[in-house]
Amino acid sequence: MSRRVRRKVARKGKDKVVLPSYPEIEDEGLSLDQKVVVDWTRLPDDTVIQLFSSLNYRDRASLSSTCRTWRSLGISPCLWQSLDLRAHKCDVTTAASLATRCMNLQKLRFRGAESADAIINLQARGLREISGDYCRKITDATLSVIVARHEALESLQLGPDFCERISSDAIKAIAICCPKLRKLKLSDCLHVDEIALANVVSLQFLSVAGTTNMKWSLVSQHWSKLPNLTGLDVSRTDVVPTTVLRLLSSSRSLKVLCALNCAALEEDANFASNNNKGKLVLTLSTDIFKGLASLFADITKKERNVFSDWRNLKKRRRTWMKS
Amino acid sequence: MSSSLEKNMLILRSSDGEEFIVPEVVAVMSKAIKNMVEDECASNTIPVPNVDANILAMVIEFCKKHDESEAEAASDLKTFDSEFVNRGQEALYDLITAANFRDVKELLDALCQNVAEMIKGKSVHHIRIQFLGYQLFEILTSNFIWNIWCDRDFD
Repeated sequence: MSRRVRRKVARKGKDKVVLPSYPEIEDEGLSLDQKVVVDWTRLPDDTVIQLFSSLNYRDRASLSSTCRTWRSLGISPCLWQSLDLRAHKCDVTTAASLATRCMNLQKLRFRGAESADAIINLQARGLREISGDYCRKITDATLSVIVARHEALESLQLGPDFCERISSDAIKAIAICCPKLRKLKLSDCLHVDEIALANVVSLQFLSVAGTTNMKWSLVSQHWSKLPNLTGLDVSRTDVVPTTVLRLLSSSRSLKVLCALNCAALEEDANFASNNNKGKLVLTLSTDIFKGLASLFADITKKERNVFSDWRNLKKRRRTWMKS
Repeated sequence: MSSSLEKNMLILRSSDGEEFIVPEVVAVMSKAIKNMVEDECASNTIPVPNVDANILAMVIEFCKKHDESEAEAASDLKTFDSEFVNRGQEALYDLITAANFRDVKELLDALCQNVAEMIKGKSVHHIRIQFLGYQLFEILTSNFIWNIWCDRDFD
């Protein structure tokens, strides 16, 4: 008995071995006399890679499992530029086994703290975008290690769940480790303060939607030092009108401020009628479509179509919309 | 240029010596031929090695259709593409190599899409049988033998 057979049998235990059947072969209506007249493995490599790139990840896996030639082509770095682990449980071993393919990985999406712990094992040094869901349990230590290993990071998004274990210490680590970070989204962080965020000087877009630990009276003083800050999302917070006005006047780069579901702003009747010095403020009382359409005045004809137009355009600069 | 040949026409000669007269706009849909024409290293006859007359005719048919129907509806072109690439494996393979070698992007895209459709949702076994020439009975017999081994051990 070969080792492979023994292993398979051992896994099945003492039970009678179930006959492995291949129902899919009959289902797919294969005829026995089907002749293969050409050697498909001799296709030019670039064509095979083009073929891979028009398949989804499941079919890619099937195709690379068929033979050695295609397996080696299936791990080409150009097919592994973005990875979506959200549907999978990614532990340390899984990540380590993916590491050989992930050298040029640029975008990563994951779900859950366990996957977050495993990210560094992908060894994807050039990672530019990380986006994580359900990171309630993600800790300062994990986040610090992640940012320390990925110095080229340009975008970091955590949410939509509460990130309750992330504190200002992790933000300081981000500021030190990632000099290129342009986009930071931390939704519902309970322990992050404005002073820490002011250290991340490279930021262009910042979302602190749902945070509770900000001292809004000091925010404008600290954040006006962020030289590139263009978009800011303070939705679902207790931000007060004076802070918003001061932010708009003190920050020269700020173009868009999104403040949906902010009770203090909506109660203030004067706020909506204020002149915002040519900057766009989105609140529940303003016309969001109109506001956004003014940003894309050159491409949008109908205000209601602004989102679909924008999707067609695939512009990279975006504000994080929170509803 | 020979006198019988109109302006903006090119002669393509396949690997088995057959010659095709095609308008230049059609021929330059192949990047490789386009480069040759632009560099003016092409005489009036352009040899197309590695591509036989049969396949070359198909490629030219495809390019002509695409050249003519630029103004036409995109959906028409799509149905033409899907019908065009619906061929036997041998022709498909030859077309892919020809399109790759002469760098005809539209054709290569359509062909790759077709092969991808053939692979989508298939099991590893099916892909092996379909593309790599594994015979169904090989897989079945290997299972058969495997089962006999297991039965012997455990009954």
